[in-house]
Amino acid sequence: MKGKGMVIRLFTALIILLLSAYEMYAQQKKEVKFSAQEPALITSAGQSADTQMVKVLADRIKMNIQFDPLAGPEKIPGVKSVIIVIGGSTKGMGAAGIDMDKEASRIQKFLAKVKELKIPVIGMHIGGKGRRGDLSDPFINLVAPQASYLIVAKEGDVDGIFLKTAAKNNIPIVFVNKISETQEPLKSIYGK
Amino acid sequence: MIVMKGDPRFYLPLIFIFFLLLVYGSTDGGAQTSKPAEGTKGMVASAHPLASQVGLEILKKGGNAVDAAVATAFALGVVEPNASGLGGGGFILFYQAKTKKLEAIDYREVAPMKATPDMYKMSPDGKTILDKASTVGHRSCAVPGTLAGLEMALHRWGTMKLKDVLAPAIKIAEEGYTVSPTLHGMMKNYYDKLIQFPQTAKIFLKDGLPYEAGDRLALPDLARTYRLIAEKGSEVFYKGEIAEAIAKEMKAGGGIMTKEDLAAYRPTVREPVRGTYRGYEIFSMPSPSSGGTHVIQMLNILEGYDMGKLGHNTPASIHIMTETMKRVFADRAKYSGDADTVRIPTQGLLSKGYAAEVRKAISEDQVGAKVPPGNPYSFQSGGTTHSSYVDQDGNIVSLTQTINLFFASGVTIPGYGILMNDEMDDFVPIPGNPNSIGPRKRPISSMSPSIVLKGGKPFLSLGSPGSTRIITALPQILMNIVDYGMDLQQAINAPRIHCGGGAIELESRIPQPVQEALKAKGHQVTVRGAMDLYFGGAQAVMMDPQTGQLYGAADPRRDGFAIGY
Repeated sequence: MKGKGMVIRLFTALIILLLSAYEMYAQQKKEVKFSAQEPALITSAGQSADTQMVKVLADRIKMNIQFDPLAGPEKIPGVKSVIIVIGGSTKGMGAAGIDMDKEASRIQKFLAKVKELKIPVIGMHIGGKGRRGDLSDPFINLVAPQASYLIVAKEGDVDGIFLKTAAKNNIPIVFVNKISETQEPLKSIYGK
Repeated sequence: MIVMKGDPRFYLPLIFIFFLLLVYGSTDGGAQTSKPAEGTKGMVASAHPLASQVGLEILKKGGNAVDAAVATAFALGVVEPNASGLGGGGFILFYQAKTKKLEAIDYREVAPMKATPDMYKMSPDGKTILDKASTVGHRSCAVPGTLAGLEMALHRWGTMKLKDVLAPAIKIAEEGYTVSPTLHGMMKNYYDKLIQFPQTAKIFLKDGLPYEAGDRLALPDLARTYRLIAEKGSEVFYKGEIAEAIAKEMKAGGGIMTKEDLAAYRPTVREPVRGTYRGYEIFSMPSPSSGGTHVIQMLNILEGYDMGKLGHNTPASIHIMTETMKRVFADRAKYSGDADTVRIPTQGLLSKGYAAEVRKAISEDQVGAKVPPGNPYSFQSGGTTHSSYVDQDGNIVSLTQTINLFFASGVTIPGYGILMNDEMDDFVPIPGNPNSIGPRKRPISSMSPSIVLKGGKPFLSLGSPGSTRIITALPQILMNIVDYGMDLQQAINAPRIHCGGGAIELESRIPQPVQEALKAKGHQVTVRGAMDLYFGGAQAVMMDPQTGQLYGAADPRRDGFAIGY
């Protein structure tokens, strides 16, 4: 029984390895060069603490940023690009004194202004599967189709929601394995 | 970094998964997810493989179940720092094979002397505490009891010295350990709390971001604190330099805990509550835990139904369980408190007669919309980790301890690595409730370390973390064994439900047609993850009374791991 269990485990690991390698290879072929300018406004869609993590990453590469998780459309004229960190958090919205409807309404108005001013939007989802489900998916559906570029932690796309959205809307997308790895696409986008 | 094929970094997470599959799944005598671990001499089931290994080594060295439990509890403070540790409290239940007696130690945290029923400012609607003051920061901290409780257990029932049971935890804290996906997830989910406190962020974040699964985490400050305690005993924590450091930090952060509060802390020996379910005897924690009482109350009510015939996780059985849960939680809200300071109708709540009265109010067809508490007085005469242990002499330990919410108050004592609890949140923050805040009062808890006997012989050591879901998880696990004939691991793995009064919360593995049938009956249904740690992290050891064979099982919802020899 033990030997059989080991064979199953080895086989599972091998399958994961092959599938992941193939998907990353497919992604590599689709890579598109994308650039944006500073100052960048970092805001949230869902008020998760992931937004704070992106700020840490942006600070690390010395980006010129404005940070406002609750930014309204009036903030957009002062910046040259926008980073929206997607992920719903009951705690975060509770602390901000808002609910999902109010947050969605803010994001809709925000995106309308971004579109009007033709400001590039980088959508980031770094929370993995913990930022999926009823609390986060509505924000993904709001932001991802309107993004100019998507940076996604792979663990959050097991059902292909981001990959499908990117393909449908012709949006360049990059997947990362770790939160800290999102620093590299940011560096690339902002020429750091 | 955009990780691509050909880049060695791309393979690292996969290698890590591969490693986990090999290591977690293949340790001799150990089991995590598929089938129970087996042994004949001793068994440990705890929330982390390294902690379980610590307990097993203690047993192999000749330590008894209590020695193993205390050593494992200290190790859990290192490898599962988000859930328990020196800054928290808990309960331990002990069955002594020689005397066949059960005793419990209550080392629940107590409110500081300066605590008052109205110490928290409420929102204008009176529903929420402003600034999260009862869950985050210095005013949320109650006086910790973990060290005093574990030391008392060791002196009263154990055979080894404090320094010897601390040694393995010190080694792990100094050398570091591999961060699991579960711990990484916790660090991500509670990032906002961690970054609020620089001392805590310094320990639990790596350059400002959560540690990734596979990273190595060492806790040198905590190791130093453990060494200090190994050398000087609990005096140094409650009356010495650590007490001074805690009091200083509390004062600096606007907290109310003083050195005098720490010096006055005492754990208490308590008699467990007792009940039966279809001939099985259940012993669990009394007040200030509400858990033991309400686990037994729930089983008393469900005993009146043929649960086997209703079927496992069918619309009919889930309906009955849900209606039972609603009534149990209504009683809990009204009657639970610290029995040392308020009158609790424990005997009534535990009586079969009261359960029969509650059953009368449950309809097999109708959904109870707003369920009021019952009247148990007429039947009256008179954030967390669980681990289970059995040693070669048949002694049994069931231990649940906590720091309350994950990463607790967020406050770490500078230089000592002690993450302080936020147990003040377990009080009712307004005056006039049995569980209102009061000086030196213990808040109610749901922790329910339990021991089950069958025909007078030891059968099961069981418990779980998971806040109020503890109270609903334990009856489900026991029923899975007794009514549905599952083995221990199947019983723990099986999909769970919970109802605290409103919607039925259930794991998504419960089939869609069952969910739809419940909705059609009038239930609100909230679907959570397939294997959701929201529903707890039970660890258990089962003993075959005929053969003496031991079975250990741990909960795959967290990093649980059972190991025996």
